[in-house]
Amino acid sequence: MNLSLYSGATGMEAQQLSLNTISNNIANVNTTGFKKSKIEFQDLLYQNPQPVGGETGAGNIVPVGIEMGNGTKVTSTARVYSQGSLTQTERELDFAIDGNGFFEIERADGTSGYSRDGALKVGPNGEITTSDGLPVLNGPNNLPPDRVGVFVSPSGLVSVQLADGTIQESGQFQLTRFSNPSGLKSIGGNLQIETAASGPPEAGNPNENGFGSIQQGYLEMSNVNVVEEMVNMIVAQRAYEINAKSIQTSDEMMGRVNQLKR
Amino acid sequence: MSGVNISVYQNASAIRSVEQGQDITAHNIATSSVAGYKKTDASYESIRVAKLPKETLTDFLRGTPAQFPYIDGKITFRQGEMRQTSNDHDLTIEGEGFFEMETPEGDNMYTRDGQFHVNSEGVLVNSRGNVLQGENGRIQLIPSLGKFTVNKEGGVFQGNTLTGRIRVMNFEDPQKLRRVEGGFMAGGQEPQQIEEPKLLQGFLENSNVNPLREMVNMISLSRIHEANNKMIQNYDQLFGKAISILGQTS
Repeated sequence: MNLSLYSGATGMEAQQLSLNTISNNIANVNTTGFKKSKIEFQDLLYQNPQPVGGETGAGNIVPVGIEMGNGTKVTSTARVYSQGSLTQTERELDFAIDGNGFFEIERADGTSGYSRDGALKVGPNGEITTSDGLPVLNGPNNLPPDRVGVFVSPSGLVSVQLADGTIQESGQFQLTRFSNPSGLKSIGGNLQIETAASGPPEAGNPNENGFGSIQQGYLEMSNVNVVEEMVNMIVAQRAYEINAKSIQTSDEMMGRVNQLKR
Repeated sequence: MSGVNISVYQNASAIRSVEQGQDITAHNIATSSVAGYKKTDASYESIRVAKLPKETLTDFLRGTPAQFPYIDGKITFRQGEMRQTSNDHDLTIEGEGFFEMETPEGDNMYTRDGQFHVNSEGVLVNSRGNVLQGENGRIQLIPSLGKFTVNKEGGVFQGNTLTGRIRVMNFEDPQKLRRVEGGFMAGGQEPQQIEEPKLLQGFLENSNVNPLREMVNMISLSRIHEANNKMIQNYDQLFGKAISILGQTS
């Protein structure tokens, strides 16, 4: 009997986590390059008071047994790396990755972080940084102050037009990809870092070998679909409610048994 | 006393069955969000009680042999609703069959949960790290070929390159499968491959738990429980009366 109380509790806990995930997705609906998380559930182990295939005597076996489960748990909240829609911003240092890959960012402690947020800025010495001021690795060279325009081709080639009208090449964007981007660890600030599950980073030129292309003047929006999240929220709420009801029912049953003895 | 209060024991065993039924219902409800989960349906049967000593068999009892209820659980393999997720890593089997997964211990387990991931080596796995089995073992993706698509027959393509074919397995009697966390173990049966499976990419199979039905189950279980409780209380009162009246010595 206690089993049902705990099953109900695991169900409520799982729905609570589900709601947390949904809220985070919705909160980040306007975050550039944000990838939504998807929660996955699994059933918990089973108790077999009467195992299937067990002997009942005289050579007969139990055709179907009783299996009582212990409820559910959350196994993962994996990020879904589907493409977010691209919006045109016409800002020359806004870049969207159309396809696979990340920008490599140097974090304050010198290690690399990876981001799909391409709203880049120029630092005091003409270096390219993120909005948080972290330098972009494998990016263009420092931009000269007397530039009048920056052009980046879909394959990542950077060229700069100077005030005197000459155009010079100024480096090459490279992108980084992982076998399992969902295995990256999110550390906030639109950054992800490498883990044992993600596999090692692999750098390459955009638009080649399965890397995405770079679109200048565009930003990648989050891939959160608000309608879908709303529906998920309704489902989570109702599932929470019905789990609470099953706990209540079990409680009533136990209460009644306790009242048996006058 | 045994002949008379047999009914008390019947009520008690009914209460026990109902409570086990509630355990199953609560588990079904808790797992109603697990993709590809197949619910357990509780059924109640009765067994005739072992032979009673002759002298306790009154005429009344002879006419209605004492039956003890007990519970039986059956897995319902009915297809769950399919939900579009537009996520390339989500697969659904339409109709019968299971995905074959290899656990880290090297055992095979079978599941209808089609939420897959690509691990650090580029192999298709599920969230527990179990490896999806194809016709030639694991399904190894080639990173430089980009996204993968799965066709109806289970062929995994990257661009025009066939990188593997997912196996969909079935069993002669799925009822004999043993439930484990996240799926089923073969339980001594030989799996057979389905030659022409129907796979859908970008869809997930919901759990086939119907909350409305579970709710109704729960109400009826609760009421049966109550009725049996009342019966026991009644008998208790009757016995109390009998003892207090017949037990008067003066």
